[in-house]
Order: sequence, then C-alpha cells, then structure tokens
Amino acid sequence: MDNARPARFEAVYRETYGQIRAYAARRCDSPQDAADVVAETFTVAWRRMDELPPGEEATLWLYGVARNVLANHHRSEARRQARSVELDAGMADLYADSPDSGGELKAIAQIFRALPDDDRELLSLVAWECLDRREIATAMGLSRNAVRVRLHRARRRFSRALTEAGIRSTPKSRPVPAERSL
Amino acid sequence: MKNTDEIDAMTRALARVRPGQPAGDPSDPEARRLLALITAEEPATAVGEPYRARHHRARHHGPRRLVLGLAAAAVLATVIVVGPGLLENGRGAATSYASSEIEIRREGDEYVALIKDPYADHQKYREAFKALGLDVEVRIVPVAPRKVGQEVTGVQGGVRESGERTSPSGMEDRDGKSCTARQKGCYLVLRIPVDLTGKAYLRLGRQAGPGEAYDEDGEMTATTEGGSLAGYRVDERTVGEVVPEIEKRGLKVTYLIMTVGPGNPGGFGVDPNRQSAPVGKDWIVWEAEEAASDTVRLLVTDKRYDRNPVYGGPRDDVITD
Repeated sequence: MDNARPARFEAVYRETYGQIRAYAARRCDSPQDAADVVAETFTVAWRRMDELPPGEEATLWLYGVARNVLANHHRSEARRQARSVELDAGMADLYADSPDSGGELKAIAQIFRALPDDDRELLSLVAWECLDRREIATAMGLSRNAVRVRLHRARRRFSRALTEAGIRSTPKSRPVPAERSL
Repeated sequence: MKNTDEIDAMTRALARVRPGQPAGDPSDPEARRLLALITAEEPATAVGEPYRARHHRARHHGPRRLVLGLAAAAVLATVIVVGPGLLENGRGAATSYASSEIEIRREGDEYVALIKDPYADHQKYREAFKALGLDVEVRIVPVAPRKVGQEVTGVQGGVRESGERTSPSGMEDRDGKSCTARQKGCYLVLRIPVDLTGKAYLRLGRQAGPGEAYDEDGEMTATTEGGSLAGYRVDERTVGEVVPEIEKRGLKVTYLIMTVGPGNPGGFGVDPNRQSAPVGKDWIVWEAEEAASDTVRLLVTDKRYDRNPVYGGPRDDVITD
C-alpha cells in the first residue's frame, strides 16, 4: 500500500469525523448504534478511497454512505449486534438527555419518526446538517429539482400529520442556531 | 400547511446534536483508535473477502489487538454499497442472461435474477451481472428458516431508489409467486434496479441443511416468535437452569462467551481466545441465537451484570413478543 492513501484518508477523517458522528447520533436510538454507524461509514470510505471526492464534496459523499449504512442497521432484526467493547464515552454522553423528552416535543418526534424514510432524511439534512438543495442532491444522489419537489412533499406530509395530531406551535424549548434558508 | 420555517424549526428541535454542529473531536483517543483500526485493514483484501474477514481477523490477532479487532469484526460483518450517486437512467438496452447457475431478465426498471444453483461459485453470479453491465457481488449463505430468501446484509437506499417497500429478494417460482424453500421449483430471486451505478455486495439467505451451521452474520434470536425456543425465555437465567430445558426440546447447545466493557455500557465484544473456556452452570445467559437447525448458541457471561448487555437493559425494552 502506498503512503498517500492513509495520509489522504486521515485528512478526510479529521475533517469529517465530527460531522459524521453528529449525523449518526442524530439518527440512531442508542450510542452503540451511532458508534457502529460511524465506524462502518469510515470503513467503507477507507475501502472506497478511489471514489471519495475531493474537498467539501467528501462530506456529502460520506453522508450518502452513512445513510446506506444506517439503512442496513435499521433493517437488522434486533438492535443487538456484537458491539465494540470499547466504550465510546463521548457518544454515550450525547444520549444523556433525550432531545424529545418534553411532552409536545415527544409527540412531534413520534410523528416525525412515522414519516417515510426519505422524507425524514430530507427534512433532517436541511434542519440538522444545514445542507442546501445542491448539497442534498449530491448526498442523496438526486437531481436538484427532485430534491426541491420531494422536500416540498416531505414538509407537506409532516405538516399535515402535525395538524392532524393537533400540534400547532413551534417548539421553543431548544436553542435554534442561525438559519440558512432553503 | 405550516410554513417552511415552522416545519424546519420543529425538525431542528428534535436534533440530538445541535444542528450544524459537529459531535466529537478527531483528536480524542476514541477517534484516534477508530482511525488506527480502520487503516490497519488492507483495503483490497477487505473488499475481496468481506465476509470471511471476520473469522480471519479473529484468529490471527493477539489479545491486545483484539480489543480493537472487535469493532472491526462488527464492521466487516456488515456489507455495503457505496457512493450516494446514481439513478440517472440510461445504461442502454438491457439484455438477459442465462446459465446453469443463474438467469437474469429485465422486468420494467428491474433485473430479476433467479438463482438456479445456490451452491455455485459466487464468481458465476458476478459474471452474469457483469454481462448486463452491473457490478453485483452475491454470496449465498445458510441461514435460519425465518431468514431464507432474505438479504442477510446488503444494500438499500442509494441503490434501490424505489425504496424499502419493494421486495429486494425472496423465494419465488417461475411465475413470480412466492413460495417456500422446500417446494419444488422454488428459487431464490433477487431484484436489482437497472440503473444501479455503484457496486453492490449482497448476501442472500438459503435454507441450511440439517445441522449445517448458520452463517454467523445472519444471527437470529431463538427465543422470539418462530424461533426454535419460541416461548421460552433464557435471559438472565443460569446456564444450569437453561440447558436442560433446551435439551428437552431436542436441541444442542453451543456458547458465545461475551466480553462486557467497563461499566457495562450496553453491547459486548467477542474475544476468540476465550471461546474455549469451560462454561460453568452458574454462568448467566443473556440470550439465545439460532446456530444451526439442531443447535442454539447461548450468549453467556461468567458473572451477573446489573443489566442485560445484549440489550443494554431489560430484553423487554427491546423485544416485544
């Protein structure tokens, strides 16, 4: 193996580690699952270095990989898999507080979880990873127009479900960072 | 409809990690360890042998390495596609393919591959897909009856744009009706989108022969509905209590000796060097898995823990029968 490969991988890893970890933590129900998704995502990246795009595109590519890894995780019959014995303490800390422990937030979370996977992913990439349409298109392998249309539908479905559940207000319980409009 | 900002604000409120913020520093020890672990793997080897790597690694690395190796084992066991791209149609006219091992025909947006010989060399399948311009690697592995016809691990999302509601694989007869493995003229069938652009690795479950060990990565809980111990709970009991009950059911027992991390954070590792240790009657059983048609594997530890490491708490929190 030549030396350029590990060096390049390490550079990408350092650049994207926090983002991929956040991505996994936002979508997994347990710290173990999240840690696994992070490990698997970077393992795939290591194996597929030749396909890894340069620069900022690498993060988007990794989001796409993480999404596939996550889909496999969700499909596995039980949550349990032989886990790493190494405790990822930092990851466990992220789970100390559930973001949706409040009453109304919990209801919103339930409705959100019931949305189709693609809807959830689109809404999440906007709201959690703060990606714009072009970035989402790259991460999900869609055209920009498809993202626009699907995002519109996803928001509509979420909105409708919230209305049906009688939820009207915007929750104020969490700090909301500066927004990027989409 | 609520306006866009409101919808996005509600979504933001659900984020565990603050939107836009990273979680974790690549200089942290755990981040360094993961990096070392991943880059220790020879990429070419791993891609060529994604399934056997688990055993291979486990056997050849010493204990120090093993702690790290555990995460790798879990990682290697999962399979993978890659690359988010795809789905812009237009690979040109499709053809069909037929050999004594596999037949592939196009149906609308999918290729439907019928596995005629599940015991064939996997390269034969690969050649078939390659002839149609697809890069698909299929391994067919023995699994518990409930898993037959299913993808044990494989690809979704980026590859199969039509979504999870399509049936990617199953057991079908030549008319496309679903059937069971024991029926004559029943084949393992795999569906691949014609516009697949990445490389897909898939593992499909086939019926195991009598006593044939199930593929490890297709682990199935034996105590849930349809399992060989359905209705009998083994979790948090002792080996001495559980084994006679299992033998009464005409089943054999093997063990997986779990390694539980400091503080029992939930989850466990498997240290191959410890697997031959004699298991005492007073050891604690945390779950049972299907190991073969006539065998179950008990997941055990030599002492009792405050909570079930397999589920990170009570089994009932995770499995609702």
